[in-house]
Amino acid sequence: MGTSASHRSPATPEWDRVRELYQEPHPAPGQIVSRIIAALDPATRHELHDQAVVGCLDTLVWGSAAVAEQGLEEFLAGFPAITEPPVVALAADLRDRATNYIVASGAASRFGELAVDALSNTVLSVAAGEQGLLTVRAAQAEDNYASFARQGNLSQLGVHFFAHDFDRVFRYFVTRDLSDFIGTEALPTVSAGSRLEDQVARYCRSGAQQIDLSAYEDQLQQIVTLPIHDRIQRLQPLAAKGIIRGLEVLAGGA
Amino acid sequence: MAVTVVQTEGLSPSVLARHPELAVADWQLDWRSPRRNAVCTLADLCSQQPGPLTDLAQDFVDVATATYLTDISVPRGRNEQWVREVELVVAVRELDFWESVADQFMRLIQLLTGDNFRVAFYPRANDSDTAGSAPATAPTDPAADCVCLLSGGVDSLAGAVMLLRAGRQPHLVMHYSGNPTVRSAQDVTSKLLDTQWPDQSRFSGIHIAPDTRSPDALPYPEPDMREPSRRVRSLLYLVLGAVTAASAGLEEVYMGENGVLTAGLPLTIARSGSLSTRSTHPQVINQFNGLCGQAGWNCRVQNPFVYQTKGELIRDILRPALSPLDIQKSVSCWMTGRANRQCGGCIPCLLRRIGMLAAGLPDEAYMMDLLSNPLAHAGTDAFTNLVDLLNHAATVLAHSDEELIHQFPRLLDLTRAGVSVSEVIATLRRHATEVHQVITTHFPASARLLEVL
Repeated sequence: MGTSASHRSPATPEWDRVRELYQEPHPAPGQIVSRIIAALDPATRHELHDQAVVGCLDTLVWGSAAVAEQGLEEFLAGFPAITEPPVVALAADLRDRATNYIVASGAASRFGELAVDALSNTVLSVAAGEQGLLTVRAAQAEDNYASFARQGNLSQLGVHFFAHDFDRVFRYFVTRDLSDFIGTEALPTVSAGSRLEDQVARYCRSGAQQIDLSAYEDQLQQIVTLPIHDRIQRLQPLAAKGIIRGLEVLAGGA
Repeated sequence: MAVTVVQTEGLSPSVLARHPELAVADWQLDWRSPRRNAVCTLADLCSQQPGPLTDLAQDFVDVATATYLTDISVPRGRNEQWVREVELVVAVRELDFWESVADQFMRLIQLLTGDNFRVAFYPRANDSDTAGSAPATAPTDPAADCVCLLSGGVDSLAGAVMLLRAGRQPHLVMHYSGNPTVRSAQDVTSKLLDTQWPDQSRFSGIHIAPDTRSPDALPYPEPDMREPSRRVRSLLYLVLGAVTAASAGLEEVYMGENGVLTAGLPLTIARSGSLSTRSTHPQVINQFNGLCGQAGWNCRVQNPFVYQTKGELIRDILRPALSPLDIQKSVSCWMTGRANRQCGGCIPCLLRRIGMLAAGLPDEAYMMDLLSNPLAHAGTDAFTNLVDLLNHAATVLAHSDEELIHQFPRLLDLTRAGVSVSEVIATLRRHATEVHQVITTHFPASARLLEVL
């Protein structure tokens, strides 16, 4: 915390139209997301699937294949935090690998930071499955996560990633402006602001499930066997497609 | 487009001849020659060491100084332009060592800054570099048995007091940044400690800062063009502590910081990445200790307060030993020096005020009384700070451990450094309870922004 800063959205008419909604008592989350998408400039849209984001998607799908091949215990053999629950250790390990890739390739970015969080949350969700992430046993966590590779369903794992990525990205876009409206009739308390943020995130996770990457399943199964440089190169267009399609769906504002 | 910064002083003419691009860098750094645009005064440190600094120790100070000055010289953008592209060239004496740890060092800088920060090491010319090799005089102060970093703030003061109360003899190391208010707090707190525990500590103040007063000084950004976030400052502290310890053969270096700040969680997602400091994050300390190990040093930096809140540090460590007035001589404000008084609106001021009140100390005067009348400051950064702080506390109190890990995935980074996620969450909950209690007890207008839980 300490020395900590946040920045409001740019002062453009498009972002002003987003902020107008925060003055209304119960704005529809889809409408907020739709207006945010309309406010994004081309450079920002492009950065939503930059190299760091692709690196996180890669770590996720490659990780499923690696755990399927090695088993969770061997996969985490070098991880120091053996006392943590297995899903926590797995998510932390993959987060660390993605960050190492981003640092080594000089690809750090704002959306990369959010994508690292999305990677973590995707792993926490899919590996814990129906059980709690602090209580699920290692064998179950391994089954849950590795099943995407074992059952030829990496494309669905990718969809989960985009869902969590849109969750984080739109939380970021909303939260950076929301404090100006806390204490008003529309958002009298910080908890009211949190609830609105949660509604937007839920809308994004739900909408992203409409992204269909199944046509890329064979390609994904091949990609995860390649060296990292080739994987990133070949995942780039897929990541772009997922993000662009997701924005189209979410912009519908339903 | 990356900004290039080169420590030109020290680069050998042959290197400059082979790499003419180094001479046209965006900024050049120099803290030794008549053209110096920075100051790095190690005399206070060297005079208290049993011998001159080794080449490697001097390299550590140089590399940290160059990185710190570079961090200040490259302004960040807003929002998506916050992350910078920086290339730094440093002249070192132990080239093999630095090339072998280059990846680790860059990871450390990335942890601190969140930037794409490249560092290239070149051999230093064999010149008369006397900054660290001045003949050491026999130390007159008591022998130290550990090193403790002292910033002038509450938490590092608690670290020093903890050691002194336990009968330890710390070598207290301070970095003077040129900020007069912070310097005054450092002087006052060090005198206070020396008065309370006479002849039990020794002190070193190392002045490292931009300094363009000389007419021949190389250009350097004017103060209002410098980056204020200062994410690399803790590297200076880590290096000064480790060099002090390694030179004296000491193993323990203490860097006291409360567990809430140490966890480095953003108050909201809008403050993610290096928008929130990771200055004492366990990963940072771990990575730095790894470098010390590679250097063959036995010293290790440690933070004894990973699982304690600021309020607990004040209540349990400072209050039994110091008067409220003495505790309040410390300075926490991020804006101090720019305002010459604690502002009351930055995150450190808000945390300090809440921590002091949570520990039962009297309230202090600030330039703005944000907590008593928050809506009068609506639309300002200070109001955003308060809202985000309250939101963070409300979120921590309202969610389960599992939900909090989803909400703050950065918690997972603690595991790599061997820190317990559940213990940190427990610390966050106690802190959130302190916030809630102080706000609802003392500041009804701010409490209205919270919902009754």
